[in-house]
Amino acid sequence: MLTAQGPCRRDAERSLAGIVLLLAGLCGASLSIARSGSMLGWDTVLCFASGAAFAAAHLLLAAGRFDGDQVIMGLVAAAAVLGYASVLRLRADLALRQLSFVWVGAGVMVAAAFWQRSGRDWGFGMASAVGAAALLVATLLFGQERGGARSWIFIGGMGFQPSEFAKISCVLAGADALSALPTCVPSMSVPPCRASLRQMWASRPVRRLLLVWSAIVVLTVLQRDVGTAAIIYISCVPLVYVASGNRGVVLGAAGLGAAGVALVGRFFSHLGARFAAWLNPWADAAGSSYQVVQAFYALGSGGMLGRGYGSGSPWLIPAAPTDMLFAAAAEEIGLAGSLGVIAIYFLLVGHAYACAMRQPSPRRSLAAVGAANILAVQTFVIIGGNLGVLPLTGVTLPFASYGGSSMIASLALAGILLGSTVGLGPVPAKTPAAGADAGGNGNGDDS
Amino acid sequence: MNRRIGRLAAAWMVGCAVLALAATYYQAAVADRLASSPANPRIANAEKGIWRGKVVDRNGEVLAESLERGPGSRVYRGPGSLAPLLGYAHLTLGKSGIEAAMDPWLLGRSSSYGRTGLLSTISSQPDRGYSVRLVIDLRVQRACEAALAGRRGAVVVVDAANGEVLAAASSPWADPARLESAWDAILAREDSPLMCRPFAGLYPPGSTIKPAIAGAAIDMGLVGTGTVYDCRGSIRAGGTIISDAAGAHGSVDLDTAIALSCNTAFVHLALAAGSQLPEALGGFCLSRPLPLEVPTASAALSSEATDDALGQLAIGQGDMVATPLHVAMIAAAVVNHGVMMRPRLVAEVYSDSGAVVRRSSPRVLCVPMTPSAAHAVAGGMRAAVEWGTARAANLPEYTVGGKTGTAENPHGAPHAWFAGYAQHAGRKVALAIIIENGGSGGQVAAPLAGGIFRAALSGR
Repeated sequence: MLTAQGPCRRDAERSLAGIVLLLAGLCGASLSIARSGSMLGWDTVLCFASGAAFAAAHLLLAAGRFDGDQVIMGLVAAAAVLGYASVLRLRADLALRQLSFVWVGAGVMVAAAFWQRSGRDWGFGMASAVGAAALLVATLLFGQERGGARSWIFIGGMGFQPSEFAKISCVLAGADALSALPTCVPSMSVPPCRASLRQMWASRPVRRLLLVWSAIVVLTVLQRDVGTAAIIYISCVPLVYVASGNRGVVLGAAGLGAAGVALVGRFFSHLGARFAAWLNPWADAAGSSYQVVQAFYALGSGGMLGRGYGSGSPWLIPAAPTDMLFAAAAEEIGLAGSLGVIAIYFLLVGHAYACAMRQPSPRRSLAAVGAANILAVQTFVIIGGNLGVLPLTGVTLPFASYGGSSMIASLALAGILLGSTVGLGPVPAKTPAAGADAGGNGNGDDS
Repeated sequence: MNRRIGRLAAAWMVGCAVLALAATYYQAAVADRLASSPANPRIANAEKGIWRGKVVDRNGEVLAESLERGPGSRVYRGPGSLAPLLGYAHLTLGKSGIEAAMDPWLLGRSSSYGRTGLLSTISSQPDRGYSVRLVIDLRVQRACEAALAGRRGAVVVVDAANGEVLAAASSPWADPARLESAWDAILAREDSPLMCRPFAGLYPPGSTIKPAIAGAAIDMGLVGTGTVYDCRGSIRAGGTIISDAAGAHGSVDLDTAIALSCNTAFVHLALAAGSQLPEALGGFCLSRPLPLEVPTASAALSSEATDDALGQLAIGQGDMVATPLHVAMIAAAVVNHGVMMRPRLVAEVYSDSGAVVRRSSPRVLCVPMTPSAAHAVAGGMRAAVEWGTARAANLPEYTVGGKTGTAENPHGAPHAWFAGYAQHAGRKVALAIIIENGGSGGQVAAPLAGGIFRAALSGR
């Protein structure tokens, strides 16, 4: 992959990592001033250490001569540092655990990036998806229930949620199988602009893919983790659309999804309550919609500029470090800060799409699109839930919320995204939105 | 493929725009409402550390104060008839009255609680609320309470020249110190001891509406001081006959009509004014709530212009209801050359160190009458006190004018009304007295006015 142009220095990424370190130091210092009165307290050290995980990741990437995109990690790091500061502010007792998750996650991200760059085996995507489905079955049989969802497996005291990792395998399997469609193979003469459903079904890998996707979605629903199931479903359908160009797929899937929600709603009573709480949160502010109404109070109390780290009362929202982190943080960083957080995710996903457009290899392009889809849908679902735009579901804010499975899986997904950006072509003239970021060297690819 | 990825990017852009708009809505558009909502647990938490400010009368006498930080130590020192206006600030029952209306100040934060943001962190939050000085004068208030003497009713006294509410007595009342233990019993009582009758009680105004009708009729050119009407004791308004209890008054001019409360003369004027009359009375704020620091009830005026409705309007009956404050403000406008000042309860808000952070100032609310009409009506009210139905309100030392009312109502005996003004040495005060189901206004309400006027005009 790497041409003989001297050492790969990743200057842009280094600058961004420096900015993130500065941000981490500022967050930590302001929290430390509010809590202990001194600028250099434990809060400063811990925040800085969370940012340092990404500085280390940068050094590893540069040392390994990784030639992929340089902006993605900076944005991921910014989201992670802001999230870490909010978790630290909410639950000092969880700070060291979360810090270890950030460090492990950063390592997993680097490993995933190199692995995806290496053009891993074609069969691996499907194998991992089948493995994820098997793990989900095991979770249903032997798993434990936390927060209403039977989605935890405990091995030797360490618990994790297989559904978080099922998301990644869905992306990998999707990219591998769908890139075999004729619509994806670049042919100079007459590229078929769409693949019909029958054509897709005729392809054996796609057939298997649809089956294993369905299995994973159904198993996740059976765990009563409707939020994660919806994220996988809503992320995979556009992936099929991008690969096949078949708009009917999107419409049909929307209808199927609505029917599925109606069906699931008949069996899970809490789903109906969530919907009612969303439609009119003020009707039962002390009961079913208590959580989201408390989020509204936190948002309103934050106002334009926020009350400052350490000065708000974000712990008043139930499940603040996981599901409600956005609202909890918004009270202290204000509208200015919450718009900044939205902007970070906006740029991250938008930049991932732009990279996917410049990626000549359909397999990598689809992997980037799939990873971006998961991040986009999950971010929208949880921030939207915090803001009352969508019914509240118990999913995490990627890179930010407290939780080992979520943090490591999100960073692994970011690693897949990074690895899918090697060998980018030149900025296409038609899409000026791609921006003037540092790209690869555009030589041949393995498709 | 790139075009399809572009569509996903466009969808993502729309999604982020929705999120940004929602964030802006909750953190900017409705932020203040959410931040200061009583249901916001931050408010209660913040209150625990704050020494709530005092409420004092215009001379500095304490009406309500807190003995220590936090809610739960509020004591009320004012006379009982002021309790419905002061309201309460209670941990579980919530807040009402002045305590609710001035709550942000009493807790030491202005209304912009949510927007101070980082600045409030830097400039450590105040732990002492601001105090509120009312324009209520305790001496006048006590005179009103004595006049009510335990009967159900209300008295409101306003300074006609600047709109200051000098007293607002409401009877009966509930002891604010024993609200919680007796809460269910208080709510079950039929005489509504928590209602602030002067501002929230709605009664048919009866004949106390007549000064407003007279003023409107003069400005419409329907009647002058020399105009004479022949009262035959009854008049037909649509399908109803309205009569005078005292029989035929003979030929009456405007002064006599007001002084003797001649129903037939006013029904005649109302019929002559026709559909213009409800509009003209709307100019006296009789179709809406009066602006005040605490919530006030809206007077109701039927805009129907049938003869039946106009006949009832002329004698303040039928669908028409008004608060005692509305009635007092009519008398105030009469004595203040036709200008109705905006009523107000709060003189100033001051900090613990005595620095005034906010001061109210007199403002004109509306001009319902020309000065000449106001003078003519004032003359009629003066005549009522000198030799008419309101003789019991006369005082030798002041220029007093008034109008009685005996308002029929579905709850039993008629309400006894008196509305009037008194002038002395450049000061002019107006008042309204209502004794619920008290009987005749001239016999029951008018005799109470003298003591209140003395308290309001002497020694200040």
